[in-house]
Amino acid sequence: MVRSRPFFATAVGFTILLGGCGNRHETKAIVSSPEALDPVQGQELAEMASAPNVPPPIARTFPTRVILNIEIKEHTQSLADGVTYTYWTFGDETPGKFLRVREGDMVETHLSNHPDNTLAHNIDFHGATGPGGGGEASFVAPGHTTTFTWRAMRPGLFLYHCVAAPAGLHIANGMYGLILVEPKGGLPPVDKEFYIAQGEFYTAGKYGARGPQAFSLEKALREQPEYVVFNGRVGALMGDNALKAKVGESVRIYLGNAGPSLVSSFHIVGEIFDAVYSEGGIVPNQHNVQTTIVPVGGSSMVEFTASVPGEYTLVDHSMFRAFNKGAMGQLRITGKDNDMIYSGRQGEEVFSPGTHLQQLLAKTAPLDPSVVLSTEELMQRGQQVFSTVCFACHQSNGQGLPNTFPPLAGSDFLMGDKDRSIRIVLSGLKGEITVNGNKFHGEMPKPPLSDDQVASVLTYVRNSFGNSGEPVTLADVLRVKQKLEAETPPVQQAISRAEEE
Amino acid sequence: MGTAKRRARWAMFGVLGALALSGASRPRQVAAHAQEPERPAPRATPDLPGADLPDAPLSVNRAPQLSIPSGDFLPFYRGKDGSRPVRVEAFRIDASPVTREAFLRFVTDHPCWRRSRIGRLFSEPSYLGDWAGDLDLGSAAPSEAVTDVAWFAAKAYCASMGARLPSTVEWERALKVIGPSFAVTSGSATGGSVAASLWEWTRDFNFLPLADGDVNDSAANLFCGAGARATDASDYGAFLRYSFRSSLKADFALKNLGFRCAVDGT
Repeated sequence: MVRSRPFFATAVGFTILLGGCGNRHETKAIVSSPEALDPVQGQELAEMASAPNVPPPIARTFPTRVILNIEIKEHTQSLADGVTYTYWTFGDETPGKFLRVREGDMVETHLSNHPDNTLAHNIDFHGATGPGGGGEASFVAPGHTTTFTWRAMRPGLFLYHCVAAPAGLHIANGMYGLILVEPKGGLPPVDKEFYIAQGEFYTAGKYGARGPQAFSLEKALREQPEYVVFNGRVGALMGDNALKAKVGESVRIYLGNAGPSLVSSFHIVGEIFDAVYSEGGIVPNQHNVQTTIVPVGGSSMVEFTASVPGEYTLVDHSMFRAFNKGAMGQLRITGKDNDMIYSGRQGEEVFSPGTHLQQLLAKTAPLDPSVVLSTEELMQRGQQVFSTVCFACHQSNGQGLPNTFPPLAGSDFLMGDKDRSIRIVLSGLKGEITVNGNKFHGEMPKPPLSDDQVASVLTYVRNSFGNSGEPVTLADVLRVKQKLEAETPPVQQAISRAEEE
Repeated sequence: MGTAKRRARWAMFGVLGALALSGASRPRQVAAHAQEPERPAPRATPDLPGADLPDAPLSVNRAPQLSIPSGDFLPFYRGKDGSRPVRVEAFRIDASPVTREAFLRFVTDHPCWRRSRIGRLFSEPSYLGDWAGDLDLGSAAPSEAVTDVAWFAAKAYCASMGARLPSTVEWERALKVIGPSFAVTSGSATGGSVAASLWEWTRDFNFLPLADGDVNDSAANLFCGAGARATDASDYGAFLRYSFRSSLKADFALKNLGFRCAVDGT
C-alpha cells in the first residue's frame, strides 16, 4: 500500500514534539545522583497492566516508594492454535505486566516463586543500577519471596527479565516484560498507549506442530526459533485482539524485544511514525520513520497519528518470520475516510501490452452485438478462445488436473446449470466447489473476454469432450450480466464500468 | 554399567541383608553406628522373607543402592586454574530418593524430627507440609519420594541409616555414570539435558565445586557470568541443577526437593 501523510497530523505532531523537546528533554542530563533527585515521599502499590494495555500516566509530582509484587509461575499455556508450551512467567503472563514508575521512585521489589514451581528464578531490571540489575539480590527458590529495592535513577523504557542461569532459557521460556520510568513531568500526552513485547520460542516441533512442545536446545544454540511472536503467542494481536484506535487519535506504542536471539525491525504497514524514541531513551530523536530497530534486550517507543480508517498490519519486517513464525499483529483504525490522504482503490483494468494472448484473441475480436452467430460459428470461435485462454488449466481435452483444476469433460457442475457457467466466466470463481463428487478449492480469475467470446467458449465447452448441451447465445450472456449488475453494489459497478471503458 | 550387572549387585546386597537380619531386630542400633567409618550391613530388601522389622510401623527397609566406582570427574564450573578433573573415591548411593514411608519410620523412631517437634532453626514451617500429621501421611503417596524436608532432617535421616548425604560432586558423578535415569527428570524444559522434576539435597548444596578442586559460595557466578565459567556451556540441565541448588538454604522445605543417601566404598 502506498499512501501519503496527513499534513495537519504531521504539523500537530511536530508542535507537540517541539514543545516536548524544549520543555522536558533538552536538559535531561546523563548523570543522575540520589542527591539530585527529589526526596521520596510516602508509598504506593506499583501501577501495572497486562499487554497490550498500559497503565495510565503517573500524575504524582514527586518520587515515592513503589511496592512491586511479582509472582513467578511455571505453567502450560497456548503458544498457537493447538500448540501448548510450558511457559515460565512473571505474574502468569508472557510478557509480564507493563510497569510504570516515575524517575526517582524507590522500587521495593518482592519477587515470589510459587511453591509448585520447579526452578530457581530471579529478576534483572535494565532500569536498575546495581549488580545484575537485581539478579543476585532477587534470586529465589520455589516457595520463597525475596525483597530488594532499587532507585529508578534514569527515565526510559526498560526491559526486565529473569537472569538465572541459563539466562537464555529463562527468557526463551517467557520471563520478560517492560517497565517505563517516566521522566519528571511525564512523556507528552497521547490518546492511546499500547505495549508490545517480541519474543522467540524454540520448540522441538516445527512451527504449527500440534500438541505440547518441548524446548529444543539445538535450535536455541543455533539461534533459529520456530516462533517469533508479539506478546507471547501467535495471534495475540490479531482479529478480536487487534489494537484499536480512532481517526484523529495520537498513538504511542511501547516496544520491547526480549529475543533472546533476533533483533526486531518493527514496522506498521501503511503508517509512518511521527516520532521514534530510539532504543527506549526519552528523547524523540527521529521523525517520519518507517521502521524502527528494537535491539534484543532493548526497547523503542514510536508515536503516530491514526488518520485513515482500515486494517493495518504490524510486523517484524524480517518478512519470513512475520509470515511463517508469527511476528505479526493488527491495528484497526475506525472513523471517517479522508480522500485527501488516501483514496482507496479507484479502478482496475486489464494490462496486457501486446502479449501473445491478446494477439491470439484478436482473431476472435468482439462482434457487433446485433450479429447473431450460428452454433457452428459459436463452436469455431469458442475453440479458439478455449485453446488460447482456458486449456492451460482445464487441459486440452477438458479433463482438468485431479485435486487442482476441475474437469470440463463430463462435468456435472458445468452441464447442470447454464446460467451459473455464464456467471462464472463473466466474473471468475473463488471458493470450494464439488465437481463429479470431487472437491476443488482453487480460484479461477475472471478471463479477459468480450460478451460474445463468453458465449462462444461456453457453447464450445458444453459441446466438446463428450459433453452435449444447448448453445449459449449472446442474448443468454447479456441476460446474466444484467442480473449480476443488479446484485452488485454501485461502487463495484463503477469499477466494472471503468474497467470496460 | 550394565543393568544386569547392577541387578546382580543388588541381589548380593539382598543376601547380605538377610545375613544381617539378626541386627535388624534392633533397628535403633543402626543410628548408633552412624559415626563409625565402617558402614553397617544394609537392611533387608522387602522382597526377602522375614524382612519386616519387628517394631517398624511399615514394611519398608533400606533402598537398593548403586555402586559408583572411583574415578575422575570434571566439575561443571571452572576454577581459577581452569578445568581440571577431581578424583572421586568409590561410593554407593541409593538407587532412588528416600520415600515417605521410609521417612515416616525415621520420624517414628526419632521424635525430635517430627513436624510438630522440629525446631525453627532446622526447618521452615512448610516441613512435611503435605502430611496429615506428625505420623500420618494422609493422602500423600507412601512409596513416592519424601519432599518438604529440610537439609538438617535429610542429613539426620542418612546418619540414622549409617549413611550420609552425597556431595554435589558425587551426585553429579553418579548422574554421569548411571545416565539420565539416575535423576527424577523432566527433559522437556531443557531439550533433553537433565533437569529434575524432583531435586535432591547434597551435603554441600550451596557451595560451588570448581574444576580446580576449590569451592566457591558466590551465587553471582550463576547468572550471566555462568556461561563463561562452565566446562560445558551447552549442558543446560547442569546450569539449572547448579542454579537450583545455589538458591537453597539448609532450612528450606520445598515441594519438589527430596534427597537420597550415600556411603563410602564399593
